[in-house]
Amino acid sequence: MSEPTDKDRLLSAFRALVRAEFPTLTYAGVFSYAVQSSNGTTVDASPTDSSIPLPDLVGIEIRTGIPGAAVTPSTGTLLAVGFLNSNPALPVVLGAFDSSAASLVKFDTGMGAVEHVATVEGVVNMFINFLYLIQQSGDPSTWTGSGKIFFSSDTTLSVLQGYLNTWLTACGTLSLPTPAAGGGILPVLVAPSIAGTLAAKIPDITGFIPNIGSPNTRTA
Amino acid sequence: MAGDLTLQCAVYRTDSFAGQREVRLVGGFGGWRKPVSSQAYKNSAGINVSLVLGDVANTVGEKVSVSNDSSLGQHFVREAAKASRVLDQLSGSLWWSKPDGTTVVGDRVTGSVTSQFNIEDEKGDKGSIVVHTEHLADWVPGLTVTSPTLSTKTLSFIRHTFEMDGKAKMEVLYV
Repeated sequence: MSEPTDKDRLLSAFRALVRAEFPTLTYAGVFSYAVQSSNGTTVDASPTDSSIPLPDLVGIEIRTGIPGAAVTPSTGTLLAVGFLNSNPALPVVLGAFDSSAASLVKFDTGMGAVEHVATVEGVVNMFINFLYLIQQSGDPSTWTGSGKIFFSSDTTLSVLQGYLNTWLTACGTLSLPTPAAGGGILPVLVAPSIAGTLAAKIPDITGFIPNIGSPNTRTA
Repeated sequence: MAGDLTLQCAVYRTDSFAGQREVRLVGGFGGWRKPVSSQAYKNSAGINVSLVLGDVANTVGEKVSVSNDSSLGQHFVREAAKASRVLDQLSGSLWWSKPDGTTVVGDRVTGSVTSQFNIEDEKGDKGSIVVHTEHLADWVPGLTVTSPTLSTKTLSFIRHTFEMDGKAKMEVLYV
């Protein structure tokens, strides 16, 4: 007869022997943590269950589970922390996030190895940048016109946006000319350029669209 | 203290009965069975085994020496557990106590027993010998022993027994 609790000396001794054979058993588990902050590569996070024997973590590498992807989870996002090889020196964030909106998700860090992802925001950004590239404003008498479209001297981004909106809307109602023999030029010349542009980052002159080729999931 | 053997020990359990006191001792300072809280380490320059074990030892009142210190990498996540568990995690259970109580992480000292001794008995099936010597401190696990009546053996385990009548006995298990 013995105490059926942790006061059972024989059982406690036996359990201690077994535990000693698996000193890193704790690190074979996966634990629920909540994000405190993130820089897009690592997170600082706290356990959601105070009974687990692990501390707050700082600067833990994020592994999204998608090749080439990077994510900046928002504060409070629940995620899973595990340990590679059950090694307490190798903590990682495993790609098991809850449904909280991320601050940013990027798929471009593996460009070339994965298909690029284009968003509506990215396409709009490309058009705006394109207009800005070809615009020329100022005194009409000084306009050379080579490769440029003239806008009035007070042209601003909002004016460009207005032109863009008008023209893109009109695109859907135009009576287009019959394509040239051979199927036109778009597929063979322009499409690769557009695809290349959308696959890479270009400057965001609007200040609202961080990346072309990257979906913007910001909620603010 | 017994003969030339002096060991730093801590009392694990003791009680008196009928005028006698019996004591169970453990080597060192009795700290490794104490709990430590969880703690996260991060250093881009690397975190050494000696840092983590030194922190644990200081917390529980032990002394530790890491023979071949190495970097664990940029992180170490210490779980809340007995201090001995962290010791096991980082030593691979390859640790031992010096006579002064310092816990050494690493291989045992090698060499051979050079002082005088007599082999009083050997049990080949048990892999054990009973030794008489005045130099108890020279007999530690890891050393080898050779005699005209005994082929070379590597010491694995040593048990000192001190009887109430003053007799001492040293039983050695070899590898």
